[in-house]
Amino acid sequence: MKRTIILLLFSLLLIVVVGYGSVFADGGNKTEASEGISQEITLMVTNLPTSIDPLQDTGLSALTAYSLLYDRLIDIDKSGNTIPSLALSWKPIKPTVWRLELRQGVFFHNGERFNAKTVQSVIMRALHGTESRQKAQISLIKDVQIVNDYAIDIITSEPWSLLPNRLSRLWIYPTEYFNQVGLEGFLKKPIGSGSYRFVKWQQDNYLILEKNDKYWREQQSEIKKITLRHTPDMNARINALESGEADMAFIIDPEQIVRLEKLGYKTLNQPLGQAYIYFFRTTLKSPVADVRVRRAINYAIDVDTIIKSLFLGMASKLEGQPVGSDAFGYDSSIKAYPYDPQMAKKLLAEAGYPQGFTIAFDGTSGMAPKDKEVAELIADQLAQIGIHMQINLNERGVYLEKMMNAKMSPIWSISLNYAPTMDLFGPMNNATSFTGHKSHSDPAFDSLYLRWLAAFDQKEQLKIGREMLKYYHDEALALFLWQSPGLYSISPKVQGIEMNPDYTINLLNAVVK
Amino acid sequence: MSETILSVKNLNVQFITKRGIIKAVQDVSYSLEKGEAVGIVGESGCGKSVSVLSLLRLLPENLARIKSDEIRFCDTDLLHIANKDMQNIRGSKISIIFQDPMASLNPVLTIGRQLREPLIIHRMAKAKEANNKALELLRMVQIPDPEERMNNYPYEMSGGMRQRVMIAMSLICNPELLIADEPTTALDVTVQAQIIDLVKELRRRLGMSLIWISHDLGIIAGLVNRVLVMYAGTIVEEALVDDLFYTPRHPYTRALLASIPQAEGQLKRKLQPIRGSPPDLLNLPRGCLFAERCNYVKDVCRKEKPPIRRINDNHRCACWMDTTTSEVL
Amino acid sequence: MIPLTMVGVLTIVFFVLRLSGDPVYLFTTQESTPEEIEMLREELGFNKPLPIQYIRYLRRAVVLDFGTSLRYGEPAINLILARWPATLQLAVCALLVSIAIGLPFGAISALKRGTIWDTICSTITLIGQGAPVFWIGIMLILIFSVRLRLLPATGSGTLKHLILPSITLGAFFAARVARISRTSILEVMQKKYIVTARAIGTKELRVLYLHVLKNAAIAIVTIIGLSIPSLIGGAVMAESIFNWPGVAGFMVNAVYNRDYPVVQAGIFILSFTVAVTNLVVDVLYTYLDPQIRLGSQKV
Repeated sequence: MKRTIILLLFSLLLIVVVGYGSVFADGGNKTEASEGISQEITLMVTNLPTSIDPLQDTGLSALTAYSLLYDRLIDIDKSGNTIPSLALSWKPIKPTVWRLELRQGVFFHNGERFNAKTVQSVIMRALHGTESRQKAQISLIKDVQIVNDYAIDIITSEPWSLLPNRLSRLWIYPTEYFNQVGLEGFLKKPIGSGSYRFVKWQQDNYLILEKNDKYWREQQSEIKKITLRHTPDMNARINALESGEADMAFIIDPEQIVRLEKLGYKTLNQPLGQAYIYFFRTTLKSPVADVRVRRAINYAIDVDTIIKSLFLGMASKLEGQPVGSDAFGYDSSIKAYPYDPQMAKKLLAEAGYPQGFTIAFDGTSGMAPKDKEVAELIADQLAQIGIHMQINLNERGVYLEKMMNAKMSPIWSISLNYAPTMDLFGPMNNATSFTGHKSHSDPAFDSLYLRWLAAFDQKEQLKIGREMLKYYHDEALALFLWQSPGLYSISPKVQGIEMNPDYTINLLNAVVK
Repeated sequence: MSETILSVKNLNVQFITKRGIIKAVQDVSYSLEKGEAVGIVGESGCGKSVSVLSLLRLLPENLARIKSDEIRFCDTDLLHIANKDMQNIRGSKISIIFQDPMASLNPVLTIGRQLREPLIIHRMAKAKEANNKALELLRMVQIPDPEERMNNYPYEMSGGMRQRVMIAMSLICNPELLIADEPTTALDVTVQAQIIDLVKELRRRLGMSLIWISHDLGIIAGLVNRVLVMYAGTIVEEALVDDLFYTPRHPYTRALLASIPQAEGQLKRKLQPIRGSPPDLLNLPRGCLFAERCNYVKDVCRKEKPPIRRINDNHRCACWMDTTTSEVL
Repeated sequence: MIPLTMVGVLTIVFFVLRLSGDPVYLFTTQESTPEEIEMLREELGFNKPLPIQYIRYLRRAVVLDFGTSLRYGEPAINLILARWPATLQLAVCALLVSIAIGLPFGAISALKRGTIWDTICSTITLIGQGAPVFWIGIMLILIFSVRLRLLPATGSGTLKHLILPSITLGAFFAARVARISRTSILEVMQKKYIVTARAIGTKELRVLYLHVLKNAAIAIVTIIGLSIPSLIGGAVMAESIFNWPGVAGFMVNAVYNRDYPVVQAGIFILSFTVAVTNLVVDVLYTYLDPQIRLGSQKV
C-alpha cells in the first residue's frame, strides 16, 4: 500500500516535469510550418538583443529586432547618406548647435504622441541613465533644448560634424510611458513606434511581434505576426528553414546558400557594414613597420581568388579602403591593390628582406566567417613570396584581452564595424594612437583625424576624409580583404524582404504567398 | 507393496566446456519408493549434486547435456516434458533445498513474501490463505515469533533460521519428494543437529520421500533407509544403511569408513586418508575409476570397467573384487 | 549534507575566482572606465581583507545574490533559474528514454549472453556510446524534421518539441544504462537465490522481474545517479543543436562571453541539482535495498 502511494506520487511528479513545457506552453514559441495563407513569418536570427530596452544593447545583431519595434531619428541609405525618419531635417545653426525638425503625427503603439520632449528625454537618459550603454557613443552631446513641440536643438561640447550619422544609434521610445512604468515595467512591456508592436519575448529565445496597422509609413505588407528566434547555431537555423518551421535564416555559409538555392530557397546577399581586415602594428619593431613591406603584403594576396574559393564569390571586396561603397565618405577613386607577386617580391627586397621573414599573426577561430581558413590561405600566399606567417588562433575572451591590452601580434585580424553609423568613424578611429590595441601611432594621421572630427563643413569633412582614406591606402595600414558577408536564405513563399548593411530589416513590402 | 515414485536409468550428464567435455555423471541408475529416504554420499565433485539437479533441469542449459534411458517421477517422464510442465512440478511435487542458506534467499523480499511465493505460482492459495499457510509452516519448522518473522528480511536472520525458512518454502506445497543437497554443510554442528531432527520430524508428520545428499557419512546414518555411494560420477555401492556401515563391500566405501576420525577409542590412532586424488573428469581412465587409489587393485581393474554385482536384494557393488575374501570375482 | 556540499562548492568557486589575479576584471566589460572599475571594486568588496570577502560572498550566496549579468543587465540568478526548468525537463525525459532503451538492451544482452542477440545488442550499445551527441541529434533532425517534416527541428514548448531532443540526449545516455544493466543483471543471475527461485517453479519471466531486476536495480540506480553530471554535460550539446532554452547551453555562452556572474550562479544551481539528484538516488536506494532501509541489525 505504502509502495503504491510512493509510486503514484513519483509518477505524478514525472508527469508534471515532462508535461511542464506543454502545460505552460505558450502558443508563441511554437515553430510550426507557416501556412501560405496565414500571414505569419518566422525569422531565425543569430542573436536577439540582450535587452529589449534599446539603450542597452549596442551590438549590431540587435538592430534587426530594434528596427521592427522602434524607429530612429534618421535612417541611412545604401550609400551611407542620412535620410529622414522621425527627424525631418537637421542642420547646424552654430558650430556646436544642431537644429532638428521632427516629424509630426507619429504615435507610439500605446497612443502616446512623439514630440520634442520625447527626443530630449531619450537623449538625456542615453547620456546619464545608469543602464544606458550608449553614453560613449553620444558623449559629445552636452544638452538638448526644446525649441517647440517639433523642433529641438542638440548642443554639443565640441563641433561635431558626424552627429547626424551618430543619431542612427538612438532608437526612440515613448518617454512618458517609460517614466510611468519605470525600466522594469518597460522591460515587461516595451513600446515603440515601429512597424511592428511587441507581443511577448523570452530572452535569448524568441521575440514575437504583431503588425502595427497605424504605422506612419506606408506598408504594403500584410504580414500580421513575426517571430524572431534566437539561434546562434547556423545549422539549427538552416534546419528550421528546411523543415518548414521558419521562413528566413540569417547569416548562412556560402556552401549552404548554394545548396539551399538548388532546393528552391532564395538568397539575399547584403554585405554588412563591417570591414574584415588584417591590421598591421606599426608600433612594434617588426618588418611591417616598413611601409614597403605592408604594401608588399597587399600585393601578395589574391583577394579575388580567396573570395571565389572560400566564399564562392559571395563577398564584397574592399577597394583599398576600410569601408565599402555603402559608407558615407567612401572614395570610389581609390582602388584595391592588384594581385602582383612580382611587385611584392620587389618591394620586399627593397625593404631589405629579399629572403622574406617570419612574423606572428593573431587571428580568431569561429568569430568571423571562415576566419581560420582565410588565415591559412593568406599564410599560403605569403609563403609564395617568402613570408612565413605563424598563425595563432585565439578564443574570444583571449582575443579581446589581447586587443584591449595592446598585446596583439604585428599582424592581427579584426572585423571593423562602421555600421550602424555607416561613416568613416570606426575605421579611422582604430588607426589613430587613441586606441587600446595601439596598432598605429602616427602623429600625421592623428592630426588629420582630429581635423576631420572638428571639420564643420560637410564639404571640408569629405575632403579630409578622402585624404585619410588615401593615407590609409598608400600607407597600407592594413591588409584590405572584404566586407563581412551577409547571406540570408529565404523561403520562396516570402517575398519583398530587404536587409540593410547595418542589420536592420525592412518588411514594408514583404508578402507571404 | 510400496510404489516406486522415482526411477532413474542410465543417467549421463556432461558439461560442454572450452577445454573439453566433462563427464560429471555416468550411467547412474537408482530408484526411490514412496516414503523412502535415500542418502547419496561421496566426496566433493563426485557428481552427487549434479545428478539430482539434472532431474529438475536446474543445470545451466547451454552447458549441460543430459542423456538418460529414463527419468520417471510418478507417471511423468521428466526427461521429455515441456519446460512449463517442469516448472509446475518444481516446488510443488518435487522440492529441493540447497547448501548455502545465506545466499539462497532473495535479499530484497520479506520472508513472508518468499514463503508465499510457491503457493502463489502454483496457484494453490490466495493471498490471505497463503499468509496463514506460511505462518503454519514457520511454526512447523520451529521458528519462534512467526508473525514477526514474516516481515523480516533474510539479512535479519541467522544461517540456521534461513535454512529453516528454506525448508518451510520447500514443504509449503506438500511435495511428494524432497531433495536436500547438503543442507547442513554450511551450518555449525549444533544447528546441524537441529535441522536434521527437524527433517526427521517433518518426514514423520508429512510422509514425503527424501533424497539427502552429503559428504558426511555420520549424518546419513541416522536419517535414511538406503545409501548410494558415488565416486567420480558413478555409483560404486548401494545398500541399506546398516548393511553399508557394517558390511561395506566396495574398497572406496571401506576406505571412507576407515577414514572417519574416531572420537572414542585409541587416541593415538593416525588419520587414515585415502591416498591419491579423484580422476580428471575430462580425461577418465579406462577401467575402474577408483583403480589408482584402491587397496585391492588388480590388473583387470585397470583394463575394464567393473560390473555391478548383486550382493543381495538391496546391496549392490561395482567392483571386480570380493573385498571380504580379496579374490577376483 | 546538501548545505555542506554547497558550501564546499562555493568555497572552491571563491578561490578559483581569485586564481587568475584581480577578480574585479571578471565583472568588468570592454567599456568600463578606470573609475568604473574602482567603483566596482569598492562595491564588490574586493578591496577588503580575504576573510571578510569570504563571509560577504557566502552571505550573498545564501540569498542567491550572485551579481548582475554583464551581458543582460539582470540579476544572474534570475537568468539561470528561468532556464533551469527547461533543462530539468529535457534531462528527465532523456533519462526516461535512456532507461526505456538501455534497460531492455542490457537485459537482452545479459539473458542471451553468448548468443547472436548478445552480440547485436552489445554492438549497438558500443556504437551508441561512441556516437557523439551532436551526430545523433543532427541525424535525427535530418530524418525527422527536414526529410519527413514530422517533428520540429528547433525550439521548445510542446510535447512534439520534446521528442527529438530527449531521444538525442537519451540515446547517448542509454548506452551507459545498457552497459550497467547488462553487468548487474549478469552478476545477479549468478546468485544462488536465482536457482532457488527456479527450484520452486517460478517461470522465467517472473524470475526476471521479481528476482533479477529487483536486485539488479540497486547497482543500476547507483550508476545512473553517479552519471547525472554527464547527462547535464550532454545537455549542453543537445541544447545547442535544438536551440533548447535551457541552463546548460546558456552557461556555456556565459563562459564564452566571460559573463562571470551568470557562470557563478549557474555553477551554484547545477551543483545544487546534482546534490539533490544524489539525495534522490539515496532515497530510491532505501526503497530498493531493505538492508539500508531498516539498518543492518542481525538477529
